[in-house]
Amino acid sequence: MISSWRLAPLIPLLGVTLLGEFASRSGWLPAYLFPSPSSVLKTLVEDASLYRKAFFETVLAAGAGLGLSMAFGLLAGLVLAASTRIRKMFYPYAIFFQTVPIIAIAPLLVIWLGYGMPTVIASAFIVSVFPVIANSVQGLTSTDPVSLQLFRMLDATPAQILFRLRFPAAIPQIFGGFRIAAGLSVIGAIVGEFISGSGLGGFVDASRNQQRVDRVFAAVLLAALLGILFFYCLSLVHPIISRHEKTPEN
Amino acid sequence: MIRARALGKRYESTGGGLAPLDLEVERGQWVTLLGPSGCGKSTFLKLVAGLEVPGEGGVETSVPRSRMSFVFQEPALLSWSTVEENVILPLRLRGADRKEALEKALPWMEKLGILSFRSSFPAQLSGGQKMRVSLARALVTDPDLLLLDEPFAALDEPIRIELGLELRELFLQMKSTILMVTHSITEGLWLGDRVLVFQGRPGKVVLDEALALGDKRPLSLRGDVRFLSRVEQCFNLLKEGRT
Repeated sequence: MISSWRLAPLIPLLGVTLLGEFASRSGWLPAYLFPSPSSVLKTLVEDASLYRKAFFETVLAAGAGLGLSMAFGLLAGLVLAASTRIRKMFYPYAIFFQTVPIIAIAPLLVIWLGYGMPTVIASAFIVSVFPVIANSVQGLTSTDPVSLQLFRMLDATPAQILFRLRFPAAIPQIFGGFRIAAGLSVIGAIVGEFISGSGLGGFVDASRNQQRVDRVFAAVLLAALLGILFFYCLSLVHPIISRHEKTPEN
Repeated sequence: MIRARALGKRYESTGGGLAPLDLEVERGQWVTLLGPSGCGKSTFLKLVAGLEVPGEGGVETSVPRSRMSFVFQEPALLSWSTVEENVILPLRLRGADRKEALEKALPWMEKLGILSFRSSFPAQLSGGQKMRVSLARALVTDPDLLLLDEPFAALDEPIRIELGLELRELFLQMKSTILMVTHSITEGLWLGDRVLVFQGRPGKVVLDEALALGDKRPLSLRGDVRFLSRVEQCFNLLKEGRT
């Protein structure tokens, strides 16, 4: 019974798809604004090679941006968590960095990095790095005080405290940051592609100029699937890192 | 072994802490510390362990910190490490290799009845089992001084009694010194050789007495008239301190 409910999220999707199909075919919604789901699928099949190329460009850029975010965000989190003074000095800038809208700085990225992959990767990185920093700092600075006293009692070195206590204790939160960053990296890549003209973002922009709403929908669908794919890939790792949380009851 | 001279520590925010205290503890004694919350019992343990800095006075111990172990009220186990890894943690942090650490840890794990679930994670254990792991981790270094801060507080009465009996037995074998903070008068007197009763905030010692109940502490001792009169004496002092 429970396992059959795993497919429950497909029910609203199916409902909306059928409704969209019906509304479009019956003329309730104008096809030039809301193409029918079947026509979007048809476009996807007909232009498969174009979409495949754009999709993999976005996968590569978002993946690289996410990888950089994970590496840099974690490193920055470790540095910021190491000292209250460092945190007080630099953390407000990390927050400020997060509040700057990427759409406003994307043109600057083009000026600095040119039209192409580096701009898209930088955009994906900028959008997705903050949750990794924030979650890493939060996780690394909220270690159980009793465990910290235990390590002090055992005369543990700062490196032992970091790598044997603070870091393992923070892994669930750091991983939470990675998962948020996964979705954001796709958004960042798409925004970067709007400006630099490549990948799914570039495809959306070009299709908009051509008034090909069906193509826009198809590209948006792929972009959403890409976000889900990234999130799902990271979710696959979750059971491995949380195996110790399994209680006898579950 | 432990010599405190006018040792005090006050917490301005709560008004609690420890009033200046002069105290000597000899090797091989089990000293029970009784008193209300905030009277400085745990603070005293932390001052002895060097986890807190004295506000006034000082404390000397002939035991280096590497020969002390602290058992907290919470088991404070590393949730991502197995039982075995938790027990050998003190040895590993001090540079022992895994094999050497396990050789030392296995007899303790056997004595405390946790050997059969050495590969389990803390989340899979009951409260009593977690405390056994915490005790094994404290004992694996063969400490000369064991500091116990309400170690059985979160456990059911039958498990408290069972662990108390086992710990008393181990204490006699190890010939180490124990300072134990507890809120249970019966448990504290049953297990200890000497009792300190604290009153007030900041707390001061109003009773410091050797119990002379012998080495072995069978459960039946808890029903003994002499024992019960001691319990009553401590109870009255604690009650008096509250009013």
